[in-house]
Amino acid sequence: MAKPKKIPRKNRKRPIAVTIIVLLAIGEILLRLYWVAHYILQTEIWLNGLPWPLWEAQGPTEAGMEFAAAAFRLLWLLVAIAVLIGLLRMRRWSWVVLVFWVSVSLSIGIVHYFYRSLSAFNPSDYAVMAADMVLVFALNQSDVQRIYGIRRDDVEHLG
Amino acid sequence: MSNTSDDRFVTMPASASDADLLRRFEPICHLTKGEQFYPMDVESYVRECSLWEHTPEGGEAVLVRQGELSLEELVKPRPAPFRTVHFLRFIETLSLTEAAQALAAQARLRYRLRNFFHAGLGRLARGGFLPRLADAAFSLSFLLRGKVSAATAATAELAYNRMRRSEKRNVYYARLVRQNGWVILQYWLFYCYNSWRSGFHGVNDHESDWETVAVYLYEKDGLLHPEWAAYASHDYKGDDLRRRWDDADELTVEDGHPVVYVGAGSHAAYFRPGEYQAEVNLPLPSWLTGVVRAWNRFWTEVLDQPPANPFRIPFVDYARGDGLRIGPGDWSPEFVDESTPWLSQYRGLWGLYARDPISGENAPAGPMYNRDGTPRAAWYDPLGFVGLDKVPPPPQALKLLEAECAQITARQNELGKLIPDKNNKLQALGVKLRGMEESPHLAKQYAALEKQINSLAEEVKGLRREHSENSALLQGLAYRLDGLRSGLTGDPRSHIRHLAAPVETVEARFSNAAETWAAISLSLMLFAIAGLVFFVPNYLWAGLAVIFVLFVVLESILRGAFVPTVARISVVLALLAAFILFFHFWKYVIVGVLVAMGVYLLFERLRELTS
Repeated sequence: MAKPKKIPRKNRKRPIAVTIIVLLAIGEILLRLYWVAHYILQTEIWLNGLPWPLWEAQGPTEAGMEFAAAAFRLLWLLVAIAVLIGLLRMRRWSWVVLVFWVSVSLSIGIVHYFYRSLSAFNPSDYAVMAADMVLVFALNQSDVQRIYGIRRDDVEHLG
Repeated sequence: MSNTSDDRFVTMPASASDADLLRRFEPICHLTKGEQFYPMDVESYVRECSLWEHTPEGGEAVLVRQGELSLEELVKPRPAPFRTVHFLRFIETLSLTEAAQALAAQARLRYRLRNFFHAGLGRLARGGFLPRLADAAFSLSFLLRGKVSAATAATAELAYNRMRRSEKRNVYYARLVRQNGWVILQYWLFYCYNSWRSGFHGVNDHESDWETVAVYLYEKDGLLHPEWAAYASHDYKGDDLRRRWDDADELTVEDGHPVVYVGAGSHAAYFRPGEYQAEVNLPLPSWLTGVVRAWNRFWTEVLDQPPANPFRIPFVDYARGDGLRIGPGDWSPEFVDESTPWLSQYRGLWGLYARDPISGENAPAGPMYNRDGTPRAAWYDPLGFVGLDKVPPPPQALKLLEAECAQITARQNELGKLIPDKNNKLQALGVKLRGMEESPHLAKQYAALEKQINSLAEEVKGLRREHSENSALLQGLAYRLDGLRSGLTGDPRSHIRHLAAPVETVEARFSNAAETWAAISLSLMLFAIAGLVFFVPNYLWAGLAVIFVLFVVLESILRGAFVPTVARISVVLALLAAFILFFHFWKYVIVGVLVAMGVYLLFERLRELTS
């Protein structure tokens, strides 16, 4: 399947939906930055080192789980920063990564919601879900897809 | 293949006999390698058949047994109640043993003839995962509908092969009709079996198959010139069925003979060689069709997503033209008309009545009739059937256009006088009306005059509109007239709304893997679901969703459609999230919407106030 033709960068205008996407991405970056910073400050990792043990015979310890979550959030933070730069430079890959990311996030959120007896579904989870939802609708606007080279006018690519 | 002007634009004297004309423009058929049935004569076929009657009560009775039937016997009058279906039966009911023997003999025959068909990238790999699910449902629908069995197809192939060995004749049934200045040459091809489903993974199988090809000639200076060729094909009708003779890209002509590329098994006729994708809607209940339509509208118009219909099942009609070629010298023509008894007097089906309510597996009726016995448009209205009833032959077109232009010009001249007259009258009445104002005793007359003025004003307005429209029309007609006078014939495809075009040969990213995946994915998914039900029943719904999404995503990677698939999935997830959020926060959502609308209106009004 041929890749859709990109609109020349000089001809691209940033639609309002892209501004919304960028603002939401910045919000998610700040949220994850807060979570990572909170973990680092709480554990004073620079003084105490890693909270050993991370793993026991039954599986990961509570400290291990917290560390894994923080590491995962840090990874996403770095990805989000790269995506933000890509979005501002209107790169196709940034759209793809963001849609994939948001889809995974939404999937986790929805599964978590339906099986919330396992752990609480907090207001912050609803907030993330709402942000992801707005992101998806904004990213899938036809003009946004065109500007990132996802959809072409002459060929309906989504098949 | 020759398409030089001399080879292409062959003419015949207008005085030529019907038979000579029909032979001069007879088609050249290119079949697909693997095709098992070729155009044959009806007499041999009927001799192999029995004649049956399906009664309105649902019973079936044999009227003439196999071996006793002939064309003379077939046309004997057989009075019957309404809703009775008469049908031929080429292959009798088979026992289990006979069926197994037929399938084994069919495999041996194909091996001996080396007549194998290779689908290439099959339709299942082309269509994607969701259409494949719909296809599974379509296959299951045959459990409820009537169908022609695979053993019947195999037995038909063996029987046809036996008949062809004893008498190898490629037959067309041809007729010549003169209508509205056109000379129409119609060729009807009869195949004893349609093996599209059993042989080529298509939509249906049925006993017997009638296909038609037509050539439309016009007379000029005592010569007959070919102008159009029309082939019957799936899903196309009217103007879309015909191609202009000078359209070399769309119509291949070899020494004045139109070339037909015949669909493997389906025997549909195509203008260009290739693989044609036909799509069939899954037969859904009407309420579900309504829901699907509403969903599609919401998906495309509200969510601004590209259209998608997972209930459409892709089928491929292979008209590659790489098999047998039947052309001049190979044909045994038979000339027919309404006086041919078997054509006009037998109104039943030419093969098994499979009791399929959507008719795909029921045999067709003959060239003159539809399955329900009503007259067939392709026969009684060969011009209207291909949208030519509104098209005059080229020599008449110029005269008709000139006459039309003259008529409109005359009307314009008439309007040029009429409009000022009416307008003067209107102005006079207007002055009179003004004179009546401020005279209360003239109120009644004033009202009547006002009514008269309004009526006249409407009339003048209508005349002016007519004049304006005629001017625009005349401009267009004059342009066309100039073109015709200078010998320009215009765009040969301007009449076509839906052009049948072969699909591009799909090269999936990992073709072999995609084919294998297409073959096994549904079964794998069912195994995964079985495992889920057995091992982790507590997570059934989440597990089902995860399995489904994983399969769809894996499929999309193989088909090189990862990005659009993820985009679609993300929209579905976002809709689910929206539903959850509305369920929990509907009050806030409504308040938010009201506040947003209020702010917007306030902003708009304030802007209007200050501008």
